Amino acid sequence: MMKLLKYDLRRNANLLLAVCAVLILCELALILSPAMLEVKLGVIIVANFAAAVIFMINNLRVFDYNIKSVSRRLLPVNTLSYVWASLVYGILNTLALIVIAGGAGLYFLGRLDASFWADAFKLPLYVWIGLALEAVFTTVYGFLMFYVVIALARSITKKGAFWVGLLLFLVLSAVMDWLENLLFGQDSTQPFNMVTFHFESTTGTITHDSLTAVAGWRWFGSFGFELLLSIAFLFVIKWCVEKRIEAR
Amino acid sequence: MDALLKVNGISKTYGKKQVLDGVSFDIGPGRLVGLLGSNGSGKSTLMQIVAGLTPATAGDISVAGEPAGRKTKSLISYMPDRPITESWMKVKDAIAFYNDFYADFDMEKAREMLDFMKLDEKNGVSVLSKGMNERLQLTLALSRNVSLYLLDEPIGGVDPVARGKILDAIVRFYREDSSLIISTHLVRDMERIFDEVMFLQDGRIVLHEEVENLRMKHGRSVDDMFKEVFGE
Repeated sequence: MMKLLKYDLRRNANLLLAVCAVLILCELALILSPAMLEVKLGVIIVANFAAAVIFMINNLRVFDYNIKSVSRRLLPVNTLSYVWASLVYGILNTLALIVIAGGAGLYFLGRLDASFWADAFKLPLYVWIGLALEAVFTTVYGFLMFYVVIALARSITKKGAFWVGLLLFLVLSAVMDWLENLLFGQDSTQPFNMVTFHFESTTGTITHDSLTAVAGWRWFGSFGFELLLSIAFLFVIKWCVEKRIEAR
Repeated sequence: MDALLKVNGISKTYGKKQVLDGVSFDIGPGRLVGLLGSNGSGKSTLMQIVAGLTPATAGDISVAGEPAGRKTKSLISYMPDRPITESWMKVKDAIAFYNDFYADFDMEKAREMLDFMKLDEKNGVSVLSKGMNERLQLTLALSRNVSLYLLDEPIGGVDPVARGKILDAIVRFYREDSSLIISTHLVRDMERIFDEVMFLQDGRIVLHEEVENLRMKHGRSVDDMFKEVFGE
């Protein structure tokens, strides 16, 4: 898996480094510019979002390449290695973006009203662990959902795999949302509510020392459901790669 | 002698088009086999199925007694009919890629072959000519120590000088205890190296014979037989 990851990173190094460099330069230029703080913040958010979209598309292309290219399919590796390598690749890229965005965040932290964030840092450790786990699982689940759609679309030997993939994605998301809503009263686009935040505001301003967090168990059903779906996605991907997808 | 490769009733269809129709044959160890057929006869599809790259519609394959799967990928070295190296790579990266993934890759043999093929490790893969690229693909495939080599059109589209060099490399560097299947329609250039040949026509094996028997029985070269079978 690590070897696949190594060659995925080397193959895409130019794109990844270029996007990171442009993003850092863009953030530096904005920070040093005389523009209003709110404008700077808005443009940086848009730039980071654009970089995230590029990285996401690149990650999907990496997975697609791994399951359909002759050079990768010839390798004597476990079929799921293609999934793990692409997943870790996506997570590493996401971390790189978080670090770059965090750098700009430090600049704004000192300049915007920081009382809310100061309160957030006082929250207990389990809240932060819960949030981190939720973020990681949501990312992994999201990637797996895209991967299973790509694998199913690539299983079709006729033309139009892209449109079939798009349709599959829409149908799959709609069905998952409907099922989760029916079973647990929330859809897959919502976080699990592992931790619920409360804060008070008076006349639109957040009151200092009012942020609290409560851990609950309602998230468990939804989490279990998505965990089961993730496992099912892995089986479907494995079946598609081994039995259906032709290397080109 | 136990067969190294057993192909049993392999069929492949794309929609309504039948590309392979119940192909069956055995290949013993230490054989140099020509898989001959005109363009579109199903040679590449058959090679891809044996290499584990394309699922068959029906039938089964085993290599050294192992059913086709992840394990047989370690027993087969496959050279496809187009380059599989990636455009960012230099020749040395392509060699390192094979060395990283294949435990049976022989680095010393690879260096010897690069030297024989006049390939510079520092050259980028994307700037290599078609002939030089074929040489690189062959170097990568033959530098593995495996039981079965599959070469799909190794001299397709290259000039006569490069053809000669590639054929010399095949004869010089292939392991005699292993078997080698070469698919081609350029029969005259290659028939001198084959122990046996298979003619694939419209997705079926219409002839599978030792080259020596073929010459004795019919008194003709493989190339003449090929023209007779595939002549329109």
